[in-house]
Amino acid sequence: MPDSPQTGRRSVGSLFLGVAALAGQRLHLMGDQQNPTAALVVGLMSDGKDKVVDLGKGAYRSVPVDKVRNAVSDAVTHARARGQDAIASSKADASQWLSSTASAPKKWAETKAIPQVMDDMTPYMTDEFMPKMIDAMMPHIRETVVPAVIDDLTTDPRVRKMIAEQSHGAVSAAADELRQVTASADDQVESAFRRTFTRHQPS
Amino acid sequence: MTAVAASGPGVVVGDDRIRYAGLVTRFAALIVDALLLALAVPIVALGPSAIWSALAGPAPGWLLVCSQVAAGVLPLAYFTVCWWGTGQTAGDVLFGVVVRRPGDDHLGLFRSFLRALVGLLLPVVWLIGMGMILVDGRRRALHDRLFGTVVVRKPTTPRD
Repeated sequence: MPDSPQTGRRSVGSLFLGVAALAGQRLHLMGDQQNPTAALVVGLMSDGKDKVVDLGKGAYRSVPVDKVRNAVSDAVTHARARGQDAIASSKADASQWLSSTASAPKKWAETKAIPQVMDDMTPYMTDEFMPKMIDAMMPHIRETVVPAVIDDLTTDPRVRKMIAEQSHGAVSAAADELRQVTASADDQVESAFRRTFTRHQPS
Repeated sequence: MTAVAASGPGVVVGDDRIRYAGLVTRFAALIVDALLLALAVPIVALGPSAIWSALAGPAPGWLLVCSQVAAGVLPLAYFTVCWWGTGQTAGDVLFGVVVRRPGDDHLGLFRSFLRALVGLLLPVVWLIGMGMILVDGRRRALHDRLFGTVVVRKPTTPRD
């Protein structure tokens, strides 16, 4: 027994045994003198444990540790690789199965269910839901949204620039039109003048 | 626009003639300027004294004199400054014409002043002299010949 009081090293088994003996004395199951039967049982168990430990140590010494370690390492490596392959193939199979299983309902929903629902919903949406919603929203839109949009538009420099360019373009186009008209009138007046005053001149 | 060949001294034949403003354009520009001045001259003549009267009672005599002198000088100053500065009065801007020297140079201040002074002092001669536009190769009026000027069209700005 390694757990002597002198060494200070106590095993869990000796502590458990000590606690059980103290509890027996407290409960008056055991007297102050040690029970010889219990001492026999404990001694047999201790001897048995020592024998098992000695047998284990002897077997450990007789086994080639390096070979065992290599064999175990090889076995772990092989098992890990095989496990990874198995997991990967299982995932692929499961994914394929799920997609093939889900594609049929999806196709059915796309071709049959959703169009049918849309066709059924459209008259209700256009005739009842949207008019009610618009009627409910219009006061709010008029009071808050439209003024805000107008403010944004009137203060937006891009819109101002666009309006100025369009106005300038319209004025410029009108001026060009006016100039073309007067230029044409210039030519017509001169042509009329020349026809009038060169008619009787000898050629 | 049809280019009309001209004959006589200072002839410009063919399409180059259309560079110069004709009788209708120049009369139209003159009418616009006359309307502007008909509006501006009374305002300058009567406006300051009317404002004074509204704010502080009867206008002083010096203000009336100054206003009327300014109104009398306004047409002369208007034409002089416009021709000297840009070569264009408001009517010229509207109809896209500009007064230049034959080499496309700007008019000097003295030439602009004389051109305006003669036009304002002898308006009948000015108007009759515009008839020469019809026969001159560069569409010059009498006063253009007198002061060595031409009235050309400004090229239109290309639009996007």
